Amino acid sequence: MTEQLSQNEPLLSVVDLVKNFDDLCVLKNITNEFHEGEVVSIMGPSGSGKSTFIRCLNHIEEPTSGKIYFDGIEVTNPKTDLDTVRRDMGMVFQNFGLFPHLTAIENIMLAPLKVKKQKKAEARNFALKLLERVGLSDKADSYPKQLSGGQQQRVAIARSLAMKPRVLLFDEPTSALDPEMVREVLDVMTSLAQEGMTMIVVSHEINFIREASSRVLVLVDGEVIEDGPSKEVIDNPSHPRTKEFLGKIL
Amino acid sequence: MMNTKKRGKNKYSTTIISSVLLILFFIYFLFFSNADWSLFKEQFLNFEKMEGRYYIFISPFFLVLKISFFSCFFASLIGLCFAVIRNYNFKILDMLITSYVVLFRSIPAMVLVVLVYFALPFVGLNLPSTNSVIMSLSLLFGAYTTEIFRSGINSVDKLQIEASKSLGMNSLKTMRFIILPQAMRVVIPPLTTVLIDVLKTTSIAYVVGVPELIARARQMEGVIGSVTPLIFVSILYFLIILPVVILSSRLEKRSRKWSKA
Ligand SMILES: Nc1ncnc2c1ncn2[C@@H]1O[C@H](COP(=O)(O)OP(=O)(O)OP(=O)(O)O)[C@@H](O)[C@H]1O
Ligand SMILES: [Mg+2]
Repeated sequence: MTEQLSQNEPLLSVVDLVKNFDDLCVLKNITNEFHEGEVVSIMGPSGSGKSTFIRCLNHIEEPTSGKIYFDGIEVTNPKTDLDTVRRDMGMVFQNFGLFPHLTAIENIMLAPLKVKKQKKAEARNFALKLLERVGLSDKADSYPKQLSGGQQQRVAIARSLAMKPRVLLFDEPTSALDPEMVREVLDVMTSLAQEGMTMIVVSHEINFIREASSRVLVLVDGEVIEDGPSKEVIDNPSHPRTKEFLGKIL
Repeated sequence: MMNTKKRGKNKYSTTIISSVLLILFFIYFLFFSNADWSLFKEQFLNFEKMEGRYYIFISPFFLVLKISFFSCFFASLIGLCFAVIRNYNFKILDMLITSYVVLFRSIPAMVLVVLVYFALPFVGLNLPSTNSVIMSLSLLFGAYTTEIFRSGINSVDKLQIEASKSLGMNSLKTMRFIILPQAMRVVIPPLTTVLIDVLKTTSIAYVVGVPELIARARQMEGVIGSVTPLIFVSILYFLIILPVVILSSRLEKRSRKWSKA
């Protein structure tokens, strides 16, 4: 199925993306395409620019130069209404970023109510469905501080799903979690992947990458040094830096 | 939830205990010290002499209430608006607001009230005395509330803003639904202090001839030869301040439900 869709226009494409922080060149001319239904993992050593890359995709970080197209719209065009673009691009953060003053269900309902102007009953019903699917039906009225890290991250996933995004961006969604909570979050992500959600995931969870993702990008010093099917890259990396890096995390 | 309830109760009992201690202390003082209580009572608590004169305070009371309400309202509004504007980092506006804060924090209240009332007519702005007091107090205390709201807004984690934006919320909605509600937790205690200060500073209105409570009390003091009217007026001030205190602790309690600390 992925194969077939890949021949169509990409959902998201990145052309010559460059990002500098002052003198520091963090992303060096990255060009890539992401197709509907693809699950792409991004790996790389600390400081290689993974977060910066994924944050440029929904323009939370402003690229220095280069172009990003999402569903035919040029995100990097100053005239583009970013708020509209971002509705369709969910993002899940390493440190969850739940709104502490809102309960779990309020976190999920907020954007549908305020951005999509949904009716309260409609938003609530969908939010309850999402909570059920991430296994947290009983936590609807809990505040974030009353939830464990794994539960918070699952609410955060539900919150981005509430906008029915066309792509989900994850920046190390499990690396702030205690080991025993990693599984519950990865399970939710794996099931999303199986249902055909387009996902771009910065992660070093080898099992998730092997099972759920179709393609891996390896980012080193702001450059994609490897780009290929997950199993191939993990089991048979071609670039020496990839071998070195995988040796450290495996 | 249990935790919050318990802590709320504890706070309540602290208030009760401290009030009881205070009262016990007064009783001790009244009965066991050898102070001359009859003289003290005649000077400070001579309510017999005030009989038939209480009506004098009715209209000043409502006047002070009105000045207090509008001054607090506009002072908070100025602080909120200026702090929000500063959040967007427009260079010129930033500079203007910063100079406003520096300037108005250093003007004595009395000077500003006099200036607004007596000097503004020369540039064609004739304000009734009550309104000129409201304007002065709003501007004066708006300088403080600007700083309070600004530090409240700054206290909100950057990740909150990114999370909000990534959901397609524009910056106005992010401000309204994400930043300000969280900022309130930090803002309320110092804001309460400033608003109480506003209420007490309304007494400055006498310099432009507004018939407010303290001025009336001092007049009566001369007539009846006792400080009692001032004591009575203090009670009225307490009544005006009470709602602010209650509202503030309500809001604080509400934010304790979700805040980490
Ligand atoms: N706002 C910023 N200002 C200046 N430098 C920054 C900023 N954000 C990131 N950097 C720098 O850019 C480089 C890449 O950072 P980035 O966070 O994208 O790396 P990463 O691959 O996500 O690393 P990690 O695995 O540690 O999360 C780092 O050297 C970092 O110090
Ligand atoms: Mg990172």
